[in-house]
Amino acid sequence: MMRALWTSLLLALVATLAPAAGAALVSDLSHTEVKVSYRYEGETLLVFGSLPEPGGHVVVEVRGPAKARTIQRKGQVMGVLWMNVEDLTIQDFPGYYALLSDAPVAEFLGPAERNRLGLGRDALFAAAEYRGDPAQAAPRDYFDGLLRHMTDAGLYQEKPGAVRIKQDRLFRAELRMPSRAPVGEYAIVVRQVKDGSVVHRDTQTLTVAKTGIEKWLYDLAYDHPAWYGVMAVLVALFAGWFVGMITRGEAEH
Amino acid sequence: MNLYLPVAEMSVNIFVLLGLGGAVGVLSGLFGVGGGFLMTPLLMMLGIPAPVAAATDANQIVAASISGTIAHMRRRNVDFKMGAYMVVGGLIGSKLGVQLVGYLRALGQIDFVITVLFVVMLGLIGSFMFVEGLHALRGSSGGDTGGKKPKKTPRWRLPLRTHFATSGLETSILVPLGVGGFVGVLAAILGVGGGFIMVPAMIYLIGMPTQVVVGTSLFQILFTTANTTFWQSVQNQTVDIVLALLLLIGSVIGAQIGTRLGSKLQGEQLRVLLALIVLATAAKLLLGLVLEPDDLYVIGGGGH
Repeated sequence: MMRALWTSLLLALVATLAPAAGAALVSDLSHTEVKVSYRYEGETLLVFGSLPEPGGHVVVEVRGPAKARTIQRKGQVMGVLWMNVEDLTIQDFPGYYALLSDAPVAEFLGPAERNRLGLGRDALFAAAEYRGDPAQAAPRDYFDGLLRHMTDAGLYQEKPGAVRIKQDRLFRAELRMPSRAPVGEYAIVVRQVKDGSVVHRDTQTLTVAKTGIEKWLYDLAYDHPAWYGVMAVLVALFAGWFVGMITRGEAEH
Repeated sequence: MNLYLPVAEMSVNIFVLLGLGGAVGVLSGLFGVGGGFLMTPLLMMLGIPAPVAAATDANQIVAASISGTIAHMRRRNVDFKMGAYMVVGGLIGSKLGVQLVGYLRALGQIDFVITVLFVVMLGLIGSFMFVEGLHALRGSSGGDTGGKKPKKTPRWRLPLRTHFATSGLETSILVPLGVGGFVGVLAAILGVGGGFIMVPAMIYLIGMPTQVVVGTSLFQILFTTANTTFWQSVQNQTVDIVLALLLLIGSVIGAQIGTRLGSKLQGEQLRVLLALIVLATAAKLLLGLVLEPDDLYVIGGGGH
């Protein structure tokens, strides 16, 4: 039902764009804002658009807000206990990264070009800046450890085949945002690749923001932590007393 | 049915949390312990970050202990003078503990320290209670509890001795201050009420009569965990009110069931049962420390 609707919408779009074909790659999102409310369980968006010329491949790259990530490595201490022994910090690493394409990116883009564009695992590693000097393992091991955790949480995705191309003109891809996806601005870059290089590109911005009581509590916790603390204690006292009263009341009957 | 937690920043199943709170609540009512020593590791297993699990647990214990404290006050099971000294110790200890959490988080060792402390504390206390409980079970067959308790003669005499009328004993105020302070530090780091340490300390170290021990420890826990909740919110931003409320709804109902169960069961049997639960938790955590982890790499707190 939804798919049929989008397809007809896209066909209408391409029909109106057809005369101007050759001009630019046009992309859009099913919605440009993800609202994190108390019922939020993650969300699936649609990235879609039209290609100015037929053929080639389409890559959709999504980067969430960046921050420094510290990865710790466990080692055996005194021959018995496993504890964190070393760490490495990667500066400005995206909290969410998705690479959606119609075929494995390595099949149509060479390593040099992928690195230049920052596409995929190896390119992210090459571009990352490190802080710390671990002796027991290479930075790449730490990096892979980070991506393993992010992949498990749905925060790192490489999905060749997620982009569908229709009639050489239309493309669409489903983008899954897990509930752990960080709030902030997401950059979505769509590229059309032909003969090993990018021929067209378009960018979109997606905002993930808390709303309603989630936003209020989060802002209070970080902006007015003392008030948040007082509230946490009072709410707990009242709620505990209230529930206790109810259960005791029932017990006496 | 899922709910998104505002501070933990993740989506969790409501019924899983209600059930977890309920199970821990039964223990709380049965033994007069907060049950935090089970709640914190269980929350961590659900994927909630360790510092958030511990701090939120302290907040939940505030709620869980208010209803228990009121119930024990009505039955005149609280030694307020003893409790007041323990509260003062607890306030100082929990403030220091919150400071220590911030420091250990920056070092990246908070999870390790939490686990090691759990193993040591639970292992020691579990074994002690288990042995004592077995002795009591074998020794007094059906005798009334506390009646023929041997009078404790203190091995050392601390200064500042004072009389505690409700408990009917004389001891130095440094003892309840010290016990309260120690438990306060644990409350902040581990997110436990500390009843599982305080109850044996009050029985064996101070020599308080069994019937005021649970009420007085709940009284201390209430103030210490409230203080912990406040300072964790201010310094570490790790208290999730929504998560705490869900846990407490389960735990308060569970606590009522536990309290009623407790009055029907024998004290010595309960102590052996609690000892076994404590030992099992310690063993589980110890395995996590000595077995090679599935993934050597972990993502540090980093924070916001």
